[in-house]
Amino acid sequence: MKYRKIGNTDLKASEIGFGCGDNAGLIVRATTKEREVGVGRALDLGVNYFDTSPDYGKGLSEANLGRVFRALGRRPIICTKVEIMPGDEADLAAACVRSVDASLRRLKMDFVDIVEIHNPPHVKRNLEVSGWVHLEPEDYLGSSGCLEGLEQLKRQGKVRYFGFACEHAEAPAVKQLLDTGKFNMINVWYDLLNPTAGMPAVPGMRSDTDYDGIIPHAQSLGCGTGVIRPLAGGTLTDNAMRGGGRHAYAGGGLSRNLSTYQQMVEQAQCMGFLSQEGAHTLAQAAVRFILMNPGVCTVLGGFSDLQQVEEMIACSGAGPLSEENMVQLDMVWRANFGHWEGQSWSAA
Amino acid sequence: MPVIKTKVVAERPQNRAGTLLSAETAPLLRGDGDISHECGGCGTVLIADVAEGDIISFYVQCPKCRAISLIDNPGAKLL
Repeated sequence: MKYRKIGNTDLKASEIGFGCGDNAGLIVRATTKEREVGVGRALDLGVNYFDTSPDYGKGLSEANLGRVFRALGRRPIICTKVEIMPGDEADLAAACVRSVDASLRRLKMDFVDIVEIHNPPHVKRNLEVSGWVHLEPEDYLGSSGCLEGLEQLKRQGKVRYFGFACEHAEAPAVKQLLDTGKFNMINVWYDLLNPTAGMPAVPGMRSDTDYDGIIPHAQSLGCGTGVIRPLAGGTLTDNAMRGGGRHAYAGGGLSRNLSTYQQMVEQAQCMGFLSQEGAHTLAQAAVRFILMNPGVCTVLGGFSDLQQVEEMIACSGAGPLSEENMVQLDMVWRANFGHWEGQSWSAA
Repeated sequence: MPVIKTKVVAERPQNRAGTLLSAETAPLLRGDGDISHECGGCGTVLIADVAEGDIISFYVQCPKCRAISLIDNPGAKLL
């Protein structure tokens, strides 16, 4: 396993980190034995970064993770999060403190290494969306804002570093926060289906969210990046590409949005040339592509079983994708995965 | 081993507070304690083997009968 420094902190994260959310499910749905075997194997292979949240398993991810580490006698880097909910807006700092105190109780730990605000930064606050409510930069930076709460937690020794997650975020708001130099770590979507966070826009490719080079921007300001959903919710896998079903432990938002999942699978099928026997699976190619970006500190894989853990960890140190594969990828992106203006090339 | 029947609800908030926990199979969550939550509609175990304080309050959809329930954990804020 190779390690990368997290921005301007004193932490070095394993290139492959362990995502503990609902989507893959090992931490919140597997048996105690399966959790311990999976986490233990990851630790033995060098994984030292675990990413959780009060939202993952509605508290259970933190509780189960704390139990696994106590059982194994290990204490790696732990990143958890704070989610601001409708009703918290009167005192965001206090909400952050309450949330982290509750997380520490579930983890049964005195401190965590990193806390991120889970809500995506937007230019304008919106508390009525069905997903994570959108916070505006003033909500982070203003009086009684999130940053005030995070700094209080740091003074109390409960948190070492902090940052925010950028899932469905608006890039101008993210950059405004990064430009303050106050944040140490962000989590960002960056994958073969939407690489906009890590590279210049590709002519012809459309994305639901344009992350507009957040990763190099963060790197230039001494802020680290963890990449979430590197396999695009499990669609960038040989199994999904060949029409296989989701793992029995898989859940999360894609369980409620199967049509979205199917659309992503169809995009992933355009990447089938990256599944090369003896070289890499599609999933491994997806991870190796992400690791080619020097601004990435850790790729946060979500795992359903031990085999998936080992498959992803093998990517660290395996090197970049071939030039030929990168040219092929560029062609797929420029062709917008075979679709234009809502139509399909194959239907033309 | 305490078993709690969930309270099936007709409505839930349309904002983030009403977000459903869902998965294709049950149980949707599995911990390492001795409390389980069964669907108030069909009896399917939705949340298995959690301990006191492990989970917060949230809405959940039963993968079997599709009923929506509130897992009510007094003292833990609804997410």
